[in-house]
Amino acid sequence: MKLPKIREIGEAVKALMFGPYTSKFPAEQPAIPDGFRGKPQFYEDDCVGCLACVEVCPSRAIEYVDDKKNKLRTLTHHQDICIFCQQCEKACITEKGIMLTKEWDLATYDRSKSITQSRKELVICQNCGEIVAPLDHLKFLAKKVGHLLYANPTLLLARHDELKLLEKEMPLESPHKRSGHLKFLCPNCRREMILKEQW
Amino acid sequence: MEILEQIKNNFRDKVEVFEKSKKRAYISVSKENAKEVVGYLFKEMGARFSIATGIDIREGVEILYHMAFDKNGIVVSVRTLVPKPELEMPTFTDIIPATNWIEREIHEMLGVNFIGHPNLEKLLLPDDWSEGEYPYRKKTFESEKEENPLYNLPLTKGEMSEQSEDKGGYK
Amino acid sequence: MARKERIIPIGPFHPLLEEPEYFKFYVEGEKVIDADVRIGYNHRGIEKLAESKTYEQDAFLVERICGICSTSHPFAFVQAAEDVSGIQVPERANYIRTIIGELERIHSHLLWVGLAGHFIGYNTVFMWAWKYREPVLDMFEAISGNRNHYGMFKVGGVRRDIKEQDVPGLLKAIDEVEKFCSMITKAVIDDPVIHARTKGIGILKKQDAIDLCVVGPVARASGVAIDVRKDHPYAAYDRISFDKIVMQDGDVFSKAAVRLLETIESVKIIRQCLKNMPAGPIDAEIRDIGIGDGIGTHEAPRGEVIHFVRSNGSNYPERHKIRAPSFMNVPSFKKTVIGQSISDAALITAAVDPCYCCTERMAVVDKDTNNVLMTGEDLVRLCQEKTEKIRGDRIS
Repeated sequence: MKLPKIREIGEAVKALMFGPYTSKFPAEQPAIPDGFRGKPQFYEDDCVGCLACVEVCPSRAIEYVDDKKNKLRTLTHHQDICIFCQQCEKACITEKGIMLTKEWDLATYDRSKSITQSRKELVICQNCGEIVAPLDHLKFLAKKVGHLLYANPTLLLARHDELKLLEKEMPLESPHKRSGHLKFLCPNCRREMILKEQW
Repeated sequence: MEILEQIKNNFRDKVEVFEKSKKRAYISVSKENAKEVVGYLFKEMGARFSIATGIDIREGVEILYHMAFDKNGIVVSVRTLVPKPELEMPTFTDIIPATNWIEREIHEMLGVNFIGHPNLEKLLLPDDWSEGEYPYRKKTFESEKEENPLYNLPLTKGEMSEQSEDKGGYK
Repeated sequence: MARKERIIPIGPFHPLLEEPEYFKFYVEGEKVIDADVRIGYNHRGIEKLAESKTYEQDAFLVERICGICSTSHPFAFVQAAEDVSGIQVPERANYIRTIIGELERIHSHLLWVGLAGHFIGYNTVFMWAWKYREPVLDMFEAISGNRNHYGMFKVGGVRRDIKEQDVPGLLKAIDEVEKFCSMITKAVIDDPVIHARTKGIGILKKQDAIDLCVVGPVARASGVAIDVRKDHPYAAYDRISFDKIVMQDGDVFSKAAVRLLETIESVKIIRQCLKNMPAGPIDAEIRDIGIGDGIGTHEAPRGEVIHFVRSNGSNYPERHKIRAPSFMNVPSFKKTVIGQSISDAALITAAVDPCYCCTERMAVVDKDTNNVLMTGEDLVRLCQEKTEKIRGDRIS
């Protein structure tokens, strides 16, 4: 029984010399490798409010609230429900709207503070009052389709929003007149206006 | 597949055989012949019982017995239909002792009564679970409409609604 | 004359069980005469929940069935979804899947070895085995970004790639793990005190193992030579050479030896995979799953995992059946524990390696008067004291 013990003594000496494998947290911070899955974060400048991340989240940690009166869409990501699967980052259409950081020390006493949000302005149909899309989403699509955007009045108006080509508060004239072309309309109302327009 | 040839020769009209790929096959039998076929697969052909699956379909409960042939690398599933509303099936515990727990689970989750089982008590659900509630059964559209608010959508769309907030995102 | 029986309950929360389950042992004196088990304390309704999530989201849901064997369930599930209409997975993805599966086998067996050592009374084995799990978990963090619940599997391939510049670091880490695995294997197999403590205890005969259809190391320790990796080859296993470890006795010692020797085989498999991995894409382009049934199997550290998926053409599965290996292994304790003494009962139930989670607190209650006779620590202490007694007998 003496000979087998020699290999264990070697291991014991090594354990005594090098100490335990664990690091002395919080005095020393551990090394974080690349590709680590930390806490997700919304970047409002790149997010367009398309709700793709809401669709794919497996644990339903992202929720959205649409406010028609104030024309605001708020996306909220709850860190205490998130499972850090990175599906929101993979599904984001701009690839930069929500990204995983390297933060892992998320313990807190107040759960209502552990959220991250993105607020987007909404475009409302000037005839029926339904939501069309967030303004940034229309601008993103307008850039993607290139010159074809001049065939679609909604995208055209969104792209050149700063020219103030229309008064956003005025509803559609009835019976429908030519000025209806330069209004934000949802697809149903746009169809109706084109068919019933009076020359 | 020689295994399927041997089964077809032994049982003739009692089985319907479907070979899906090199490694998977499905056999349909009636409720009365299921025990004989599964017993033959277990004892004479040396298959191993993997698990049984119970599925709620319109005509009744479909039970699939998955038998694994480890020497050939094939999984054969034997399908039977237990018709509603009686939902009775003979037990297999006298020929395969491994089916004890899975028959208890199918009984409490789908409501199938296995005749001759030594100990048909609850396996996974708590003791004070209400009788007649079978969790794995599908809900029909009518019964879901009353319980699930997602089905009570407003009939008219396109009108300016009075409320200014509209919640989404499953919360 | 009525025989006075005592019932010793172990559970639902007990240190040697990794998950809550309730064992009842009917005891007369020191011998166990009957045993009973109740499960269901952790039932979360995952099969029903999987019907309301898409296939992509299901791959994350089934990962969270278990913390230790967290890759086995997605491995079987994505194979079931691919089996419905025969989707082909690229070669590089098969090799990466094999590497993740084998790394998980190493860390799960090292965890079990540590726990078993603790309950025999060798606390050093516990400390060292869990120390050498750390390089394995660091390898996981480098590959997938997480130490547990890796999120690497998707229908049609894997989600992340292993970069070429990381391969030398991984090979170095696996060398370190292999040195420890060989040392602990030889130490356990040669040690005479462990021989005396665990040989001949809790024997499961070969005919019982076949009748109860047990799987995994429990079956291989009783002489039933089944291993899903060799019988129903999948992923990259048919292109790699490794051995099937089978022993004939069926006692606790054989079960421990089978698990330890398997870790050395896993190291061989990982080395071959890292050296022979071909270049190429890591996932296939999938349009839809198709209509039909699919079955997927995988050899988890505890046995065969089987998933069954029925698809009706939509994005959501119509029925998803999950069977973990412990469902077939835990009922076998009824045959192994009867006739043994109470101080061995704790060890025999742990040798099955039920995949569950651990807490503490249990009580021994006198059946007639309902007084608490022994607490949880007492049963573990009984187990450790017997080892001391055996060691003392040998030295003197």
